[in-house]
Amino acid sequence: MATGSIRRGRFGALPWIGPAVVLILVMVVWPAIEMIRTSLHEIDQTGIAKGWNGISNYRTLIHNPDLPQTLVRTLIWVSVVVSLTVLISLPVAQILHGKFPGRKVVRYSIIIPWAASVVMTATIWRWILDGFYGILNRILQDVGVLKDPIDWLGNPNSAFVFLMVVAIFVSVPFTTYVILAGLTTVPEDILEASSIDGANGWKRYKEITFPLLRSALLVSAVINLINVFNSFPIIWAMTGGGPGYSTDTTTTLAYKISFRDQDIGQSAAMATVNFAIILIFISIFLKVSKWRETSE
Amino acid sequence: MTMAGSSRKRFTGRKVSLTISGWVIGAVFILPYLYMLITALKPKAEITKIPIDYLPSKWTWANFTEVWHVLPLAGYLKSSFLVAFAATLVVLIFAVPAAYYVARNKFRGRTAFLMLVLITQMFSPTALVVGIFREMIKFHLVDTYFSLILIYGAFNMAFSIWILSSFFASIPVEIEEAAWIDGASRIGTLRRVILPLAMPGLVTAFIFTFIAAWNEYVIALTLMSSPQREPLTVGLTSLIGQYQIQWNYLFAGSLIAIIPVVILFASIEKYLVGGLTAGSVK
Amino acid sequence: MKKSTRRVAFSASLVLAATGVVGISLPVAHAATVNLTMVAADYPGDGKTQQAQWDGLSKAFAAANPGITMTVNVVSWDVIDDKVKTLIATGKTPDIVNKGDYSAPAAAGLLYKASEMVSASTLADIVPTFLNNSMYNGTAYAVPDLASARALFYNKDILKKAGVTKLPTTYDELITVLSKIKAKNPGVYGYAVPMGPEEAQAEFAIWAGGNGGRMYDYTAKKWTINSPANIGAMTFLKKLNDLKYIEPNPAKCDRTACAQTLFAAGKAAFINGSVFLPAWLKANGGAGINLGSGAFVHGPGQEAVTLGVQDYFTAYKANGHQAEIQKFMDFLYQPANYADFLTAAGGFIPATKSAGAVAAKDPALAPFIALLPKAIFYPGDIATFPAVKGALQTSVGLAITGNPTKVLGDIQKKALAAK
Repeated sequence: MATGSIRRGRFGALPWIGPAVVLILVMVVWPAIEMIRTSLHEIDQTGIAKGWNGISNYRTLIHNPDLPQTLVRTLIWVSVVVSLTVLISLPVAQILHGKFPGRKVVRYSIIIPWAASVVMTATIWRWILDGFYGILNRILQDVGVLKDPIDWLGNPNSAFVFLMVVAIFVSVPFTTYVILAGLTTVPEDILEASSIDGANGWKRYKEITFPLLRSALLVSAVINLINVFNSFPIIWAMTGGGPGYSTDTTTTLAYKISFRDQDIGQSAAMATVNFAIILIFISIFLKVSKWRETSE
Repeated sequence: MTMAGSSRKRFTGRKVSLTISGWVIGAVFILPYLYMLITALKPKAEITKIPIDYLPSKWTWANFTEVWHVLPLAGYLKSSFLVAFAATLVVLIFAVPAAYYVARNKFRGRTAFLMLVLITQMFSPTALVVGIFREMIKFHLVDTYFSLILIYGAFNMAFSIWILSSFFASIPVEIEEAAWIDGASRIGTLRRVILPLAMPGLVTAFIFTFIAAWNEYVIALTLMSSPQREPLTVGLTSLIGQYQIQWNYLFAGSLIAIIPVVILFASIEKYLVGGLTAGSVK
Repeated sequence: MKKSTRRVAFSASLVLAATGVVGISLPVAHAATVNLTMVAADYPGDGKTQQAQWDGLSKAFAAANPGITMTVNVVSWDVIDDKVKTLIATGKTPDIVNKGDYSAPAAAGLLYKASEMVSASTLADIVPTFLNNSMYNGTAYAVPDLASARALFYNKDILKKAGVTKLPTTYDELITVLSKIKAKNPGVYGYAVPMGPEEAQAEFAIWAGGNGGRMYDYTAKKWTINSPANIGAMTFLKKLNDLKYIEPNPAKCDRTACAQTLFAAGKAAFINGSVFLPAWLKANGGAGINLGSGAFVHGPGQEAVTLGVQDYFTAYKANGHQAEIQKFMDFLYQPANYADFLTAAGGFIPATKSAGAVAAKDPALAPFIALLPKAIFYPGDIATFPAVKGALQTSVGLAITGNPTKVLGDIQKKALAAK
């Protein structure tokens, strides 16, 4: 995509990309290196570094009895939330792309979960799902579906399902907008032409619209992968990763290791491993989706 | 819709179902916040009533006025706006030239640069809070707006460069060449010819950074120690005390915090769709 | 009085640590006026912050002591740990801090001794039990500001309906009482047991203590989380859980948002509550609860205990204001000023003998003060206590719903591994 047809300045790329590179290096890369360094130190619980520690923090982490199930849960968390988010956003975007009375209002209302602080969104969902004063139980009891209230967030399985529901809830708006943007690139005349040719709606969607959405889907999937993996406030505000460690992901586990167990070294090791995991996630994803073809 | 009027009936049927599904979707996304509003209008004791009531026994609008006195809410709003706008400005000033150059030139280190952008996109500031804090102490930037502005700017740089460079690349180079022939400088061309065309891309980068900065919590909590400089996210959670949780004010304050962003968002929504388009097609 | 954990934030312990930089802050040069600074946590009081009380006191102090000014910054319990750590890390160390712990800065050598903070006469007025809980390596490095204790609270109406006339004192009696309550009060839980992260360590300490169990053995200098007595107490709670005498999912039930809320709604007969519970109920929809209080139940062959929790004033050496700090602290502990502080804080147990004598006549406080001689305290002077507390908060509730021996064993392992 670089056309290369432009005169070079005297200093080449530097004046153009230099400032951005410096800012990224100083504000993102430096702390990242600091984190990796911390993971290789022995740190006491007041946080004072007591010297190099080799891979000892990583060894502690590997022997952490809560790590294996947390890794599995993280895998489920990321794959389910991201794929359902994209699957739900596709029809939602299609509908919002259509013209109907009140479309503007609907579009604005779908912005709200994106614009609202995730902590507060998670808090109101915790309220809705509460086992004692939750409105969901009240509604289900009033319409006769439930006899006794259920503590939705008290049981690890139902809690995890609802955490994923809320994660999808906050991810759909952004994803929908990316796809909506993609839909505007689908030329109306092609769609019309094919409808005259007698192609039905689904076939038109599959053969014309969907391929054109491919890069929109890639962008939204990658951004969602990163955001969902790093997502902390939803789980923290709704279950705190509990009961016990039963709804933790590696992100909340890293927090618990440092904040509850006061083991800063092991927490830094977890955070470093987290970064490795997301790196692997993304590269597999890009490989599978043949990202390079579309980006270069 | 410019569909040929071959089957008028089918057309209306579709429109009805489209309208219904559209409204259902809108309802799904707005209902939790509507419930937040109803909760924020309840007297404090009714917020945890067992079983809960659907509506307040007394509509306590006072929660929305009192929260301004219970907390320095105006100050929080000011801090949040200032930081979010400044961070957005930093992003645009730094990302526009970088994205433009990358879109228009092959140069040594281009791949390395793109890798740097992609990888840094994967870090969340939350995961790096320890390192960030240490660094800010070193630079004597703890408890300053400046620190938040730089951090939010840096962490949102990657996405903005990504979106903007795709956008610049989609603008035909001939347009620029025409401007040079007229004797315009390179910067001048960028400013007068390219940027106006790239408006939707700029809007996208703007809103993305703005929302990220507006909603960020962990870094702000860690770095800011003066109450008068705290942003909204941090200030509101001070309502969760050790002995009391002022849920009524917490929900009221949160709703107040949503309003400016939604207004901002709504006012530039039409650009946004265009901007994300550029990001998604090459 | 410990830091709440509900908040979404990265611990500053993690963060602060970061500060090998903490280093040396130079004493402020000799200025004509010394400006003392203090950061104080905000007690609940009557729902307003304590800022007004501290501002008033500061003004009075400055008027009485020309050449010294005082600035107090009142912050919420939720953020005070982070705030103080940030201030220290950035070289703006406050002179005095009022919060729930002291051992970390004491261990780091940042603090004045209690005997340097206040005059000998003020020190002599502090209740010895409380001062004993302010030690680090045998020396007091903090002055207790006030304390609270827990008691058994109950809903008189529920007990009456169930025909219960005498409070249970033993495990067996409690089971009998709870079965009566369950039979006569459908939809009411016998005992609200908040084993969720917010306060699990307190609930654990109370139940374990009533069975003769402790978290830490000071003679053997060892954590004893999975001692037979502790496992026995959790096994008893598990029995209550299996009989459905307590609320569902106790491992998730937090003190404020769950247990106290249930009690305020008249949905729980018993709860282990702190001194401030009556005031809390009034503000949170439980004003109509017909409240009674008494001692906790105890295991076979044991005696009832209470959990005492106290907070502290600590003074930092960084600015070298020892003389001025002492003047201020003595001023604060003058009976009239200290009484103002207690009133603003709202319903706590005083830390001085003189104020304690007055409080003992207060019908609301008297039962708690009577319990204090039998109070157990957190082993807050043990350096690894924060890690153990965190591990308890995360998982001890699962002992009630799962396998007590395994859950406590896992926590013990963490406790022993903590550095």
